[in-house]
Amino acid sequence: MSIRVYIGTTEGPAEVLRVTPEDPKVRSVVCLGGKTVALPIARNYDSFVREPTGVVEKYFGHAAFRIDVGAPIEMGNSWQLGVFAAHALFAQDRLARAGEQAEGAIWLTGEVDRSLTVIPVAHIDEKISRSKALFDALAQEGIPLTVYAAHDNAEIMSDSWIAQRGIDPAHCRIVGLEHVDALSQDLSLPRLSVPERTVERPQPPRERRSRAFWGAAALVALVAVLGLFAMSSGLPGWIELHRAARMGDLDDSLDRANAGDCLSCGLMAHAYRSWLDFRRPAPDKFALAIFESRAPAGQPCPDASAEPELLVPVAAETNERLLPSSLAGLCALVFEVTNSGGSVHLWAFAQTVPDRTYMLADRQALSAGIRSAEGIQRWTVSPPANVPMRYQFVTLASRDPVAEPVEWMFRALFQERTRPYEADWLSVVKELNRRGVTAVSVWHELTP
Amino acid sequence: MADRQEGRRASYARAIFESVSALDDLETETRAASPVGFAEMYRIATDPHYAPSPTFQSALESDDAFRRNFQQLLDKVSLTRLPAVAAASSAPLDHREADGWRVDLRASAADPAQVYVIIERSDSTTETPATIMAETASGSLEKVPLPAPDGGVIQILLEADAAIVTALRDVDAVVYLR
Repeated sequence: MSIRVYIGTTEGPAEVLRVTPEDPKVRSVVCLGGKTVALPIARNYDSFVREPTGVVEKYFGHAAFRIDVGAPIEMGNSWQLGVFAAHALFAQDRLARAGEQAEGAIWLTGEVDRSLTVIPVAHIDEKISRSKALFDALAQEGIPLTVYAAHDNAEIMSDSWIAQRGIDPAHCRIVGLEHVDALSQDLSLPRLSVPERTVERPQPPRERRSRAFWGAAALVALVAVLGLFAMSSGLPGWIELHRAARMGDLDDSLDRANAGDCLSCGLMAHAYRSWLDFRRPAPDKFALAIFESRAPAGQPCPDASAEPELLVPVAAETNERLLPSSLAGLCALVFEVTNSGGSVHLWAFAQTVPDRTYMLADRQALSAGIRSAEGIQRWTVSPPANVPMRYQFVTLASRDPVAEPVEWMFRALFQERTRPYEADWLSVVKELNRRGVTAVSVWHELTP
Repeated sequence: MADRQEGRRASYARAIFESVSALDDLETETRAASPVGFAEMYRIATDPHYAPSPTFQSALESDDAFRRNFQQLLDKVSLTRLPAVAAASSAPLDHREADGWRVDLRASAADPAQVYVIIERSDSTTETPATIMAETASGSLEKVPLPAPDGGVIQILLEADAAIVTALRDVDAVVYLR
């Protein structure tokens, strides 16, 4: 079921001879025919492969590749569709190697953006005309050929247009693409998805969202019914406190309204709390992971750019606790948060237990009060040598700045350091939730 | 402006070279005239694409004073010198490090007979090397021009048995980035 991949260029077709995963330390390269000649597009290819700009690592889970092609590809980005197709076929062991008998051949030209949309390119006429000899040869060998290009490019390639260029349309199937998914489908490849790098915490989003939805609905109904009472209920004050991110004062004020004799004020406070809960980011949007960097036996620690290894959870279905790690040869711990909850205020810390010492606490980021976009954030920490410890890695996320709730949390966790931490933590999380902050955490232990 | 700076650097290097030569003359009573002039020596040290001539290689391998002068010139004009490694074993090296510069050799998974040479600097710097040179213990000089860095990293792909790769792996060789 192997397929030959040809990249259309203005100088003629370039066959993808092989795709090889390389050491992630290496920059991805495109070489000519197995030689040490790196083509000028090698730099762009590396950007196309490596995250955060690249899509190949994102979808195929490896950061460095070498591609060998049969003819030079000098410039531009129209090679991207062909290269992506080669990676997709290689991932399924369906890419025909040089000289290998192939069941089919594909010829591609097009740019691919980060969302895998196929973008039209120029010089289609030249690229097709220059590939006539190849198309004829494939027809003679009886190898079916499919030409893939962006939808707009494919539209001009009618049967008569193909025939005008001396190519038999019967041996040249044209497929226009809007998105790379259509290519995968046409080649019977699995649907593209980003491989899991972190273990998601199981969450009950449906139930939570449902509760939040009814909370929001209740808020709307209450505002309608109590509209006249709203201005006297304390609502303007709550909004002011909220805008100033004084979440503790807001919490106290809502508590007072709830406990008071004013019924409408209590109902309004309850509605406001429901709304706060609705706004709070869902915990399942934040995946935590811890990686460790280790020195090979008898060797020094690898440099910071070395790819660390992901720690494995104790139970596969929950990421709350990771298998303990040995301190022997441990060079660094890398804490990672993957945010898929949109733009939020996000802050992470790691704290040893029971002594409650911070291993990771970026105070500067906290005071900066900047929202984090969706994506991955990482922090690297060198643990103290030979000190066994148990610690918790926590990420806090909110639609509002988290500096004030964090300051409150620091005080709460330090007030009673003799109390069992777990019980303390549960009450802290509950209070953080009341202040519009979502907390997700994972436990890990470093053993001798 | 750059030409003027390069000219100043050349005359500075020439002055050092001539002083060292004069000192050598004082120390050595009878010494044959150097077969390679300073201009060629300077060009070999500074022009990435100028290959050492057989005469130059021969002088480097046989004339200690000439070799010392050339080493001093390389020290002056290079961004960094990655010295011979005090290794516990004579196993081939795949890594050198000095002054924040790092040179790594990684075999290609696609073809083990090919090697990636990766040059990077740990801190940010505007200076980038245009040549990597390696001088072996026997006095042989190997050099390869470097491409412009990409994201602070320079990478070249070479045959594993290329003379420069052998020299870079040699624990006794001195490597210069210029």
